[in-house]
Amino acid sequence: MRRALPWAIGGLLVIAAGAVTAVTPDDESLVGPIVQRGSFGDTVESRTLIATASEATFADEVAVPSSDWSAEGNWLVVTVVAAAPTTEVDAAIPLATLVVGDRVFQASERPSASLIATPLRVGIDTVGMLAFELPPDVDSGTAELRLTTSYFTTELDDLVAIPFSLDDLPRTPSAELIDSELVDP
Amino acid sequence: MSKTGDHDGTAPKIAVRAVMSRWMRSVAEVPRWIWIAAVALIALVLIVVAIGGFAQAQTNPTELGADEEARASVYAVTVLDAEFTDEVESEYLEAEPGEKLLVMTMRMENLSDAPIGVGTNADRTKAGLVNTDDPLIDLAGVTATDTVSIWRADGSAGQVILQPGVPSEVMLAWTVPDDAFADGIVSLDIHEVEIRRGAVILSSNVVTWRAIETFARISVTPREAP
Repeated sequence: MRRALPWAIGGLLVIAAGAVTAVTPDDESLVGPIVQRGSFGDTVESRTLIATASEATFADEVAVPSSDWSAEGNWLVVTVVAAAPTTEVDAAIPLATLVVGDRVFQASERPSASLIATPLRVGIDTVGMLAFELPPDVDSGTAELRLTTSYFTTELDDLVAIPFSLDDLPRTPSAELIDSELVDP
Repeated sequence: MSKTGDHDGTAPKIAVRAVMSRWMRSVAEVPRWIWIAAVALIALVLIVVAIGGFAQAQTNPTELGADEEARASVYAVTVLDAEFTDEVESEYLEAEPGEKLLVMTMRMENLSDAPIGVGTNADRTKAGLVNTDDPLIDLAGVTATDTVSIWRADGSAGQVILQPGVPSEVMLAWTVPDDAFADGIVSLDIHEVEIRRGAVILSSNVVTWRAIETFARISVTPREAP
């Protein structure tokens, strides 16, 4: 009995250590974003952003008529309506990403007309477009649009996430990107 | 009052002397051939160290030319065109006296799962293709005198970001001394990548691409601008 006791205590300690390891939150849980998820077409509100993804379409080419620029490729153009909830200080979307499977795409910097970095207003919606340049094989499945008001994916702050299906999206030969503009209240 | 023990510390001294003497005897009893073998082994190790035997293995980089792709684990680069010039009007670049611009057109592809910037960071990924202390794409034998300018030739806006799996044509301009590349041949060292995650203080989500060995060297002969 006396010989078995240390073994029993040792075994219990090993099990306890395993349990502590199992329940310890991973790094993502500790510092990751607080995801505010909503459906496509619905308004999603976070601490620093109110946003609605209203339209999405694939395009074989995007063009900005105002700057006489165009680029061919497999583009996904998403129209977003956004506003600032409480303050207009630093109210903008500097980073928008599209997560498809394991891959993350950033809203393209190439078109001069984009919702990226457009100042947002409190109480007045701004409508703008985000163009994602994708590889040819990305045209189906599920994607998630992620919007943040910081230059990096937020940590310990709200992140707007809007999942949607790519399967039924229309495809157009050319999509014109227009400058972001305020929407009449 | 004590009548035993040593009061002036002679006993410990004697004990130490005895131990030392025992050690010396043990050492002296080691066969001579073992000493010779040990000395020979140490000499061999020193020679191997001196000739770099313990240095990280470096394979000879693959020699490539224009239109040939250098493909690393997470990015690929092909030099399509190269030119020496004094100015790039569209980018407001002008070489100072005693300098010239080496402008290269490259096809670049990001083979990773997240966007990367060519000359900047993208989200929390620091790719460091150029404009870092240890760039992944580096001029061989010549040090640029200024930061590398990066743009797309089609008039696209913004800093150049490479999306995963989307090849892009990118222009890069190095400012180099006028007398650089006397033989007219420019070589670029292309490095393999070691991916490191986490940065002290900043964030555990920071991803840094660190240049390791040169796996390819692209040599081209730039033309002179008219």
